[in-house]
Amino acid sequence: MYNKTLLDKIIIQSKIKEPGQESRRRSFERYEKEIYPIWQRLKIKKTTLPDYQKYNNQKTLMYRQEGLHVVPIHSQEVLFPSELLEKSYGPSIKHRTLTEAFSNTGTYISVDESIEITEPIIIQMSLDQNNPLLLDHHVIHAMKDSHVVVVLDYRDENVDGFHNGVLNIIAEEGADIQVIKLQNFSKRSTHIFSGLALVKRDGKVTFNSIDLGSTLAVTDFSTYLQEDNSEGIVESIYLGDGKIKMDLSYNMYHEGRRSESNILVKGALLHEAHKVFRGNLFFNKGAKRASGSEQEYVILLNDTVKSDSIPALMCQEDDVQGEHAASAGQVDENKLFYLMSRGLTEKEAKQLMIMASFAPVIDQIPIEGLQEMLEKEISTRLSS
Amino acid sequence: MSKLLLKIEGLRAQIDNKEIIKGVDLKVHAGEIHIIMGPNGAGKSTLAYTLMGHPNYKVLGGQAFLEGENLLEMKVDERAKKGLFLSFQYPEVIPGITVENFLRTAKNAVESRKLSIVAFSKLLKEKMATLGIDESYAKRYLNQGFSGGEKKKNEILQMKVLNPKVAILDETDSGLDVDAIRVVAEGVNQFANKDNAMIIITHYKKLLDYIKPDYVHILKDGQIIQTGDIGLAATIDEEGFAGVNTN
Repeated sequence: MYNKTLLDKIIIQSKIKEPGQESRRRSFERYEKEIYPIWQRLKIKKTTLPDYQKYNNQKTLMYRQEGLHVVPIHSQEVLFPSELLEKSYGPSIKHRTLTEAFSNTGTYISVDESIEITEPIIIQMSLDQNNPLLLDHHVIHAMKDSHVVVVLDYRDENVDGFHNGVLNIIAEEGADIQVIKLQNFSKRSTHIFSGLALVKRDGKVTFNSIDLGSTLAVTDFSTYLQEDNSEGIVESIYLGDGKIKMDLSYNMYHEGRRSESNILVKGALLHEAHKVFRGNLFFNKGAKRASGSEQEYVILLNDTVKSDSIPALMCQEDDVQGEHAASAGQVDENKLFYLMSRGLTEKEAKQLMIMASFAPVIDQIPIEGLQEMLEKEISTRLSS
Repeated sequence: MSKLLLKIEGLRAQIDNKEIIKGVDLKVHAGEIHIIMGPNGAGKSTLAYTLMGHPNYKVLGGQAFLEGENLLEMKVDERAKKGLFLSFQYPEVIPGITVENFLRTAKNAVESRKLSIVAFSKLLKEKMATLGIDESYAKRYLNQGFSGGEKKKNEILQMKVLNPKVAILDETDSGLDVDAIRVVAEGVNQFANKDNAMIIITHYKKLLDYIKPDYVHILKDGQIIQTGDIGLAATIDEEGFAGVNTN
């Protein structure tokens, strides 16, 4: 189904010109060589792909501003930096190259030198009966000393949806990019996400992932701290309930001197949720005086949940600092008693404890109404 | 006689399979302040936790009623909603929840009438002012980075905001310097009125310089062995708990 005939058809119908054509063909070549992975920890042996179809349900909310360019990914003006195609990233190359070759929506955002985009750009993508397949590919390129915040908002309505998204970020010298991925799919949709960030000298990329739903939630985000003093931050929260399977991996590749990375993940698991967290810090040769830290804290609300945490540090350079911390545990009985002694029901107290744990991440995310939305979601999940 | 708020009869309780409370009887009426004193390990805190319903404390026998209702059958939050309050000896630290957010949630939980955010904020500021707590504490995470004295003041603040019928203060004065004890005692005195009652568990007589109790009880080895007025506390101060007549 996802073959050369389809690719040619997409290229002609969407009037994709060079260099977009070329990059799609290159990704397709790679796609054909790869096979779908077996996710052993999650016990997923087979990937079933829905047939290709068009997606017409992306809404982009933004204020027009001098120096901000936002165009559809299909647009002929799009120029993919070639280094994006060469990097290793994504939970599986097969999934990633599928979307690179066959993406059915997406946005190319670029910000001119020294331009500060004051309001977040919000990209809403919803799956519904007419648009059950989302293969979105977004590229954000921030030039020297610019700043931009982008929100990717994923949801669905009454559909067995399939989402396989790709995000590429390039922060040039001194640029500061924050991307917030808000995923609130129902239990009927699949969510797979491949993220790549390239960070140049003094640049900074912050990735916030808020994973609240879907039946299978796979996120892999790789940050390449390519030049000196570059900074990569991942601050993420997840809420897993029902029979959800989640695979979250965050990778930091330290290449530049004094590059800094920080991964902070806070989660809560209920019912029979199964989550795998992987945090990988790579200190490559030359990343002198680089420092990286990763932390994952998860609250286990039932003893039927399964939580795997796999932190790893890989060093080729001696002069670096790397640290990791992880904890998984039930809600502290004494804290629960303290809150309940003030009149909160057990459910209200647990909700408050989860929100308290999420607070350090929530505080960093400039989305209006996020707190209320999360409170509502947690309350609903705790009741079911 | 004024209204009977709390009635405890033959209460027995254990923790870790060890019986600590071995038959306690106590009647607390509206408008009264009771002091419970006793040596270490007598069961003072166990009594407080058992009444509030900590899951690790198991009731072996006896009864407790709050305004005629069976306290021991209620969940912890139901006890709070009925008007029972416990000031913790070691208040829990909860990073991520501000004092204001927490107390507003709690206030709305114990009262059926919901206060608006503005109305609550005003109430909180008033109560904080009476305890000399700086307004900025409202925005701080619950007990995080608070000194011992600040934590205890925060407990009294919660008591004042939640306005319970029966407040149990578990060694609220321990670990505090004289100034902090005075502030806590003033808070207690401002709060006490003819409609509520207090049970103050303490180790030291210092608090009694500021608070005038109606009754002083001596708890020893899980039982109240003597009840008297403030004079009893003076006896203990001079002779220690060993000097108390157990007959």
